[in-house]
Amino acid sequence: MISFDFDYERPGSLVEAVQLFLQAEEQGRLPLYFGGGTEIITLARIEELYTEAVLDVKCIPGMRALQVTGERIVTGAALSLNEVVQANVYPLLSATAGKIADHNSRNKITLGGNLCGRIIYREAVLPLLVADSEVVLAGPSGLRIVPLRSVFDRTMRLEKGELLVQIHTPVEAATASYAHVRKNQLEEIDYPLVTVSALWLSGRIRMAVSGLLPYPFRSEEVEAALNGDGSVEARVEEAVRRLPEPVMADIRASSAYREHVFRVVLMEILEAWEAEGGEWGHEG
Amino acid sequence: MRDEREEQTREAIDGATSSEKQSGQSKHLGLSSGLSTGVSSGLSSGPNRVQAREPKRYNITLPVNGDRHPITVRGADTLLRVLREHLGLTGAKPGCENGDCGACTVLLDGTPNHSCLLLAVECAERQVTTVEGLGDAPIQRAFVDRYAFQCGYCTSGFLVKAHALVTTHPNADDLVIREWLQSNVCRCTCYQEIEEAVKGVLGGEYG
Repeated sequence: MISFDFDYERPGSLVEAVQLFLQAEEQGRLPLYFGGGTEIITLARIEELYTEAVLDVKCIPGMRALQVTGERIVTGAALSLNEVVQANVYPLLSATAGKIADHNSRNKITLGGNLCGRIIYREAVLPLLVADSEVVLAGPSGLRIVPLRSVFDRTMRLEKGELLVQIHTPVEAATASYAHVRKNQLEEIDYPLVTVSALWLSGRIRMAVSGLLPYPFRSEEVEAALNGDGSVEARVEEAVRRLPEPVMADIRASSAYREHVFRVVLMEILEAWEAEGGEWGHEG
Repeated sequence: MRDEREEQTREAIDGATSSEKQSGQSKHLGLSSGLSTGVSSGLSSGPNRVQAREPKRYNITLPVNGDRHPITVRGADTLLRVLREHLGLTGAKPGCENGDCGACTVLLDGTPNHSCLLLAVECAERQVTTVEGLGDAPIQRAFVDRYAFQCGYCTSGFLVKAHALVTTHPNADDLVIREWLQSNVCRCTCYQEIEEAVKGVLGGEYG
């Protein structure tokens, strides 16, 4: 049971959502945009989150867009993860989203919610980072389209009152070879020790990682090492050496074990890629 | 170029506005307080957790198992709590109340969900099915025949989930069965029997 009250409102447009947000913010009601709301509900129950107003944005036009145009794949931020998986407009995104949480929860968790959440893993961002996706944001200054990487630095860096509306992904990402590997400590349903999403575009590997550090990341330095010369072992070692900061330790694994798992995953991906080549989708 | 993209996006969203409105997807709720009402007195509460405003209550209609229930709820009420405490439908069980155990599984418009992760107000005018609404669904007989439970606490959640599985995927393979059933936990570890019950229904043993 959630021990405090909050108002629930369902704006019918982006303009109304932003207006309601700013109004509630001005009133000190700590408003939150509400997509799937799973994180809001669970954290509110244990009193790690407080709000007096949630704005359910799922029914706002455009928030559930799903289409492939000539140049890009458009996915609305309010699509559930299972809807994204089933639509399969971008195989690496489907592979990644299909491993987040459990089947029931994926009917509720939204793509935008996973990207904007407080949880440290936010794995749905990985395939979007490697594809150089763009995001459509609505806020007090209007609508803007910006590269995801310009607003995603460990977390989504949105302006006050800003709302993630859509993600636009270049269509070439949908046909590129890819790899998605998620390693868990105990069950299949668990937070990952490490999750790696990789794309091969123009003969180079792009890679984003979750679970290793307390935030998801894509590192140009790490990618440069993986795309460098030398044996697979040497490239993997160099990639590990170039990690932006020391590997995380928690109840699931020590830092050393996580790093070992990461090394094994990189070897698995690179060796499989070099053995297979061509059009290829590797999941593990 | 970006201006042009923004214009296209804006048009796409505007276009969606008209089509989605026609299909009724952007309806407002029949809330007891309008969206623009309930403005606070200006006495901000915030992190000190002293709520100065009178919290809203929402008069909604909740269709459950074919019956329409007019009820008044808090915005923060979960569907699980409302089913159990307002409607007396105790089939959905509070286990973890954190979306981890599946004991509270219900169908929302035919799709399995953890009812602890749904706000009741979100579900207004949507079709909710609990274990009480499964009627004579074959999966129930299959659970009995296979002894697919011991203490029974998780059973109603498993039944709802398994019923949705066999009706959504009548030809489900092991991978699909595994993916779907991973949403539910049985501390008595009846997993083998539960899987056999599902396969019994999928195999046509129950008509």
